[in-house]
Amino acid sequence: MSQHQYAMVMDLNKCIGCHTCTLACKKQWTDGDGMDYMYWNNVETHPGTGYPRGWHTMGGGFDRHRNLQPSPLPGREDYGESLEYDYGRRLFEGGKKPVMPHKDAKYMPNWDEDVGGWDKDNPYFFYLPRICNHCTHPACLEACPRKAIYKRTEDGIVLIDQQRCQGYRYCIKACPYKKIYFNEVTGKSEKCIFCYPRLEKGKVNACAAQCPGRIRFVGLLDDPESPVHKIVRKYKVALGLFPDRGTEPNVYYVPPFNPPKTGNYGKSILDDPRLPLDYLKYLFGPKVVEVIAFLEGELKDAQSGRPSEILQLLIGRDERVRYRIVPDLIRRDAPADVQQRTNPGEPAGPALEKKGSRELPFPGNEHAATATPEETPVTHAVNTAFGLEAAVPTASICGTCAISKLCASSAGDGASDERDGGQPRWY
Amino acid sequence: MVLRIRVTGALLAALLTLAPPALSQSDASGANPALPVTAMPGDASPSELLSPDHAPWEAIAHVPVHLNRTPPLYDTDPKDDGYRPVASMQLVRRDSTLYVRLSWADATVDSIPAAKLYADAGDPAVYKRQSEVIDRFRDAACVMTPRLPPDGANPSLVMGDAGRPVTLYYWRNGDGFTIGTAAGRGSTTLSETTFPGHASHQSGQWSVVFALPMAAPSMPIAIALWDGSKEHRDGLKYYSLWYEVNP
Repeated sequence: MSQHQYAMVMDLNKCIGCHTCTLACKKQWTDGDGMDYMYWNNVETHPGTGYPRGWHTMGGGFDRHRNLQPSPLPGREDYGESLEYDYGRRLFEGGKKPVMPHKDAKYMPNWDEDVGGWDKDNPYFFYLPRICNHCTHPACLEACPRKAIYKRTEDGIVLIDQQRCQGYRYCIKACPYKKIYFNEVTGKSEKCIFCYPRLEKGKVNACAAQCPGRIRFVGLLDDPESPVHKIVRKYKVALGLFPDRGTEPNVYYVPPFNPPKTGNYGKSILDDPRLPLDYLKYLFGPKVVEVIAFLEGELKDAQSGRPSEILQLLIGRDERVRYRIVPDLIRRDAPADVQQRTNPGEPAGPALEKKGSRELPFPGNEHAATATPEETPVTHAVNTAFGLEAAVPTASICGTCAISKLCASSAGDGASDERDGGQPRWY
Repeated sequence: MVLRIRVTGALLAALLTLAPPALSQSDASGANPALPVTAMPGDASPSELLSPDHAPWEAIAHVPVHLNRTPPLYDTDPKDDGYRPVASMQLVRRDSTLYVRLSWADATVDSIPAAKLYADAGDPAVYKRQSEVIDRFRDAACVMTPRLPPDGANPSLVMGDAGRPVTLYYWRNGDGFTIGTAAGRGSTTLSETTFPGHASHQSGQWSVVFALPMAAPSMPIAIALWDGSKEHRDGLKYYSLWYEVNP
C-alpha cells in the first residue's frame, strides 16, 4: 500500500470527444520508435468496441478469489491502422490533389466513433477517455515474473522498469483495461506514467492541462483538500471502471447522465434515461444508479436556488479547483531515497531513461506567464487562431507551446525535439 | 577430436527410456557414462565450425536430448499440448572453445521484426514505419553453464540459484547471440556482450551453433528451447537436464 495515492476524476458529462488529451499525451510521451500505435490516453465512444478493439470483453483482472483471469493478447490489427496524410504536398507545394490517407483502412482507433447505440428514436453515446488506472491492486504487477512493474510507495503511480522488463507481455494479458503496450523496437512493454515528472515539478498531467472541456480533476485521494477526495470519498459521485475486475482502479468517472433524453421533461433521469442504465451498470457497477440519483437531486436543488458544493466543484472553474498537486507533501512523507532526489524533474526510475534529458514540451508555467490563467496552450492557440479572444502578445508566448502549429501567433516556430536536431516538425 | 559427454544417472535413465526429464535433478555424482562423439574431420576453420550448415557437421555424432516443458506458471498460460521435442546436440572442442550445435524441429520461424525509420522524401522524421507485430514471440535457444567451479552439485535448472549462479549463452531469433547471467528464477540479466554463433532454419528445422569458452577439462551444460508460435517466453519453454561435457 502506497503512502499516498494520486488519482484522477473525469466528468463524462463534460467530455466533448475532441481528443486533445490524446494528442497532448501523444506529443508528450509516445512519438518515439515503436510507439506509433500507442495511445496511453485515448478517447473512445461508448457503447462501442473501444481501443484496442473489444478490450472490455477480453478478460484479465482478478476473480473473487484473487486469481488472475485469462485473456488473449491483442494483435496489432486490434489497435487499428495509423494513416499518413501528405499535408505538405497539398498545402505547401501547390499540389492539387486532395489530402488523402496513404491507404485504405479496415480498422482504426475510433473506427466506430459517434456510432453508439439506438433505442427507437433515441440515438445515444458518450465519450470515455481512458488512461492507465494506476490500480491499488494492479493485475499487471502481479502477473510480471520479472518484478519489472512496481507501484511507487510515495504516490501510488504504477511504472514499468524498462531495464527489468523482458517484453513477456503477461502484464498486457492481465490488465483488464488493456492499457499496457508492447514496443516491438525496444522489445519492452510501456504504459501511461501519470506524468510523474510533471507532478514532481508541481504541474498537472498533460492530458488534464490540455483538456478544453475541463473534465479532469487531479490530486491525492487521501488529501481532504484535494478535489478527487471530495468527489470520490466525500460525495461519492465518481466510480471506477469495471469494479468487478478486482484491481481497484484509481481513475474515477462521474457517470454520464446529462443531457436528458429528448422529450422526457418532468420525468426522472432514472425513469427515462437517455443512456441505458444497464450499459452504465456494465461499465461502472450497480452503484451508478445511486450516483445518478444523487446528482439529479443536486441538480434540482441548484435549479431551486440552493447551493450545491459538488456541482460547483464539478464545474471546475479554474485550475485551483480542479487540481491539487503536492510534490512537497509527497516528498516529506516519502522514504529516504525519494527525499534525497535533488532534482524533482529527474526521472525517479528507469522508466524514462530512454527519454534522456528531454525537455518537457508542455511548459505550463512559462506559458501561464503571458496567457490568461484560464488558458491552456491549446485553448490559447485555438482562441487566438479563430479570434475568439483578444490576441495576447506574440513573440514571447508560443515558442515552447506544445501545439504551436495551431497558434497564429507562433507561425514558423513549431515544436521541436532534440532528436530532430531542433528542426520544426509538422505533422 | 573426440568429445565425451558424462550424464547423470537420471539423464541416462531418461535417454534409455526416452522419457522426458523432470524439472528437478539429483547431483552430478552419479554414473557418468561417456557418449563418444566423432571428431570433426579435416581442418575446419572457426568460421566453418560456426556455420550450422557446414557439411562436416554431418559427420559428427548426434546426441539425442530429450526435453520437457516447464509446468504452467500461471493459470492464464496456454494449455500444454503434450509435445516434447528431442533436440540433437553435437559437440566439438577447438582449443579453449566449445562448439555446440543444436538442431530441433520447428515448422515456423518466429521473430519480432524491429521497426525502423525509413526515409521518405528526404524527411525521415515525418514517416515512420508502423509497428507490425506485437502479439508474437521469438524462437530462442540457450546453453546454460555454471559460473563457479563444481562443488559436487549442479546449479538449479531453474536459472541457477543464489550459491550457484549460471552463465547463459542465449540466442533469440532476430536479436542474435548475447550472454546473460542468473542466480535463480527472475534474476536473469542479459548483457550487451555477444558471443560467436550462427542460426539457420531449413526444412522445418532450426540449427544453431554456439561457440562457448571452455578452459576447464570438463563442464556441465544444460539447454533450453523456446517456440515462439506457442507463446513461449520467460520460464515457459522446453528444457533439458544437466550434461557433463568431458572431452
